[in-house]
Amino acid sequence: MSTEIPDWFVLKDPGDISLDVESWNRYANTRLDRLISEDLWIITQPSWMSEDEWFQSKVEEFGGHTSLKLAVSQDSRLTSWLIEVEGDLFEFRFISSPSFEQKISVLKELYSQENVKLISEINRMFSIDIFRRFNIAEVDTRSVKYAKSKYGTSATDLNRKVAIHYTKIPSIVSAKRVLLFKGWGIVTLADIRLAVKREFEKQLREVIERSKELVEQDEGLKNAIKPIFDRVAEIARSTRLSKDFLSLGLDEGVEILSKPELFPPCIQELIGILKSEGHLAHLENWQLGTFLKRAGMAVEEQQRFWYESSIDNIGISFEEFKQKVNYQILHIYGKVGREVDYNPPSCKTCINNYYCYWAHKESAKIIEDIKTRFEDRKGEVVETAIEDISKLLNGQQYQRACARYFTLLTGWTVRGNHINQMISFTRQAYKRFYAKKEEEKEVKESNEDE
Amino acid sequence: MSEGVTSELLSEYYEKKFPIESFMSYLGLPDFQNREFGFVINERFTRNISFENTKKLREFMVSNSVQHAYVGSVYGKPPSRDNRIHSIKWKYREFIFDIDINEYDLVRSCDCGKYDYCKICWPLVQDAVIFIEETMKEDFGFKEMKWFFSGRRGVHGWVVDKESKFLNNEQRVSILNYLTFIHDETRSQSIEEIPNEAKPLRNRIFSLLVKPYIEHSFLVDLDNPILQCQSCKSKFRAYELIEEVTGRKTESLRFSTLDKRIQNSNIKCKYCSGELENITKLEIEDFGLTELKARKIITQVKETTSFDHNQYNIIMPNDWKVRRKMSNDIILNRYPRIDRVVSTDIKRVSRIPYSIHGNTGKIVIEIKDIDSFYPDSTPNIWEALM
Repeated sequence: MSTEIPDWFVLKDPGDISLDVESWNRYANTRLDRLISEDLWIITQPSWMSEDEWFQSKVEEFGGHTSLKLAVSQDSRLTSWLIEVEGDLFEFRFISSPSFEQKISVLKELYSQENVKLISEINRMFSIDIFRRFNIAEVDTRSVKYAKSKYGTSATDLNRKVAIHYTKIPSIVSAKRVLLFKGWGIVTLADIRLAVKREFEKQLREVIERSKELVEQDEGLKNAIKPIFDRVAEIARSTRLSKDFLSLGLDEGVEILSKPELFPPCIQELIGILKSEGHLAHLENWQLGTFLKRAGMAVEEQQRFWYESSIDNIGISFEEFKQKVNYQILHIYGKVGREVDYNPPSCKTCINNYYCYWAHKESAKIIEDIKTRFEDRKGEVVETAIEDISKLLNGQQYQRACARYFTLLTGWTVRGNHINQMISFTRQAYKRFYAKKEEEKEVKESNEDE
Repeated sequence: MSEGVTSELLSEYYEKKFPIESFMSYLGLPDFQNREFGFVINERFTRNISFENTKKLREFMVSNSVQHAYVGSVYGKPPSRDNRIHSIKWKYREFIFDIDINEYDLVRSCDCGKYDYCKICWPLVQDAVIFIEETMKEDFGFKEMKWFFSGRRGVHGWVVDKESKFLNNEQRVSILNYLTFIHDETRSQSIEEIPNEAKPLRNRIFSLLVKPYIEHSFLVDLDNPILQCQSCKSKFRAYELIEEVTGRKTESLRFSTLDKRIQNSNIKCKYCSGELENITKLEIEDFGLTELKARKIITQVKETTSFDHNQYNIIMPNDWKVRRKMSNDIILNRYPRIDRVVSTDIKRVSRIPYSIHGNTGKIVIEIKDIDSFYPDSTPNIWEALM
């Protein structure tokens, strides 16, 4: 097949395009705006567009992409962010590209020519008829969820099958979601769409890593991309932080860790165990991971957090560790697997299945903890709180005990008299400690102005 | 070291009998000096060793009377004490499978323990070899595999094709995952469902494993049901108990006749006189089958000489619950159980073909025909030196 690689495939060699450094900024900004507004676009030449105009739009496409790559290469967090958004754009374009042949040419470019074959080629190669041999349909009869989704009806050829060498699709082989014949994985495009996206992201990362050296050696280039770098940094930060915490003025997700008093006791306890023992039970990992995500930590920040806290890292580098835990962390963020953006478990779920400080720790130890934590408070106040909490614990009213602790901590009363969500505990505690301080600061400043 | 396997014998074997050329034909001479070797000498394991040529390797094995000899990966530099394998670049390693009979401990119906094997359980290893070899050839397109006896209780399968050496860790893991249906083999043994897409694998399970399963593992007590006391939970073989109480020899009874016989002769638990329950019957019901259907399946499968997945589809009742239960049970009892780490760890060392197993004195010979191979028939160091 001689279909050309589509122009939207940004990893292909752009050919005869010379980039005007002055316009970099403009191209990069346009691309950034579209990436963050999730305005996914395809570039195919409209019938009314002249060749010159079409060429110009290609220059903008490649120019924007190239300058963004160069800009983010200086920072691993920004690299991850760009790879993520470019990966989404690639997936959209791959699925909605108008012809099956075009999709195949992209696959051949990604996996290299000799690793991608049409079913007819496989049939010729082994003198068989794959469909008859295994009693399968050429076009899968299963309904593909993309057919009528945002990708439009053109996505129907996702049901068609293609052969890819098994070494190129290890995740699909691992899940046995493939018909393997003599080393060739017979799969529908719908089945491999995520694996293709991951491959694109992997190759994009390699390209960015290569451009890192280029930028480091060229001071002029570094200065030229500085404005783009700053803008990406700002955008990446604001899209990364969760809505809950963005409004509270946290600059970086990791900052949350510098304010441990904000955490509900279960999370404080889990972090304590993790730091002292080096590991947690599986469900506790999940509880802490989803909490930290909602608290505003980015994927990279969580990777760093777990690397520094867990003992699995003995003798391995951060990069190796990332390879090991990446799937779990990406899963928490809904970037792999079922792609669900998971919420932290509710307090009820924690009491029954995960870790609840009040339900699972001995009462005597809880009381000891509270005494140490509130040493500087008035004895009477703490004693009354301990008495209340003990009564609630005896009655197995753990969520109310947590609310009582919150009141002791902040002086505020929790609405509805019990805690439902770890994250609501943190949000309220944050408001109590920091929003108030900000207000005071503002009042003080305005008084000084007067 | 086994009492009989002396240092002198080992040195003599490696000097006179060890066929280093045959062993090298699997490894290939290029990069030999960068290949890692490991040995057990005087009960101590040592690795990060390399040799300039095969002559030096042989000299080392002779002079140190190695009890166990292992070969590892090829690296960018010759591994040594100063160039330990973790600090030098990994280049390639053969793709090797390890199947040990003790991996089946939880499902072995015989009384064999950890290192033991018998004619009843050894076929599990034989089935696994046939299954894995066919999967590697048909599904993954490899052309040749060599199997070696591991020297004690299992076998090692080497994929000979050159490209297999360069598989990275992720690709090796993916092949192993493709071949794995039983998770947590030593504890929960949960069984993964066979996905629709993996048709060749599913067909192979039904073609190769159903016959041995039906013959050796499916309702093994049907021909002499087990009765259990409802009070004290003691178990008895039905026919032996009837014979003991009534003095009449009994065999091949349908369950309804058996029930009547027990009722008429007023047979109760020997220890507490409690009521007896036919638990083999319950087992059949658990499969969703009737006694008649179960017997029919067994007869049909036993009578078929060349069984394949099409016959399985014809014989089995068209009820998805029965089929699910049956396929789970087939996988649980007969599916290959591979020691994953041996295949996936790219820096692991594996026993050298034709070397001596220091504990048993047996030679790690190549298995030419797995169907007729039984570990007891393997030559040992004493025979080799005779």
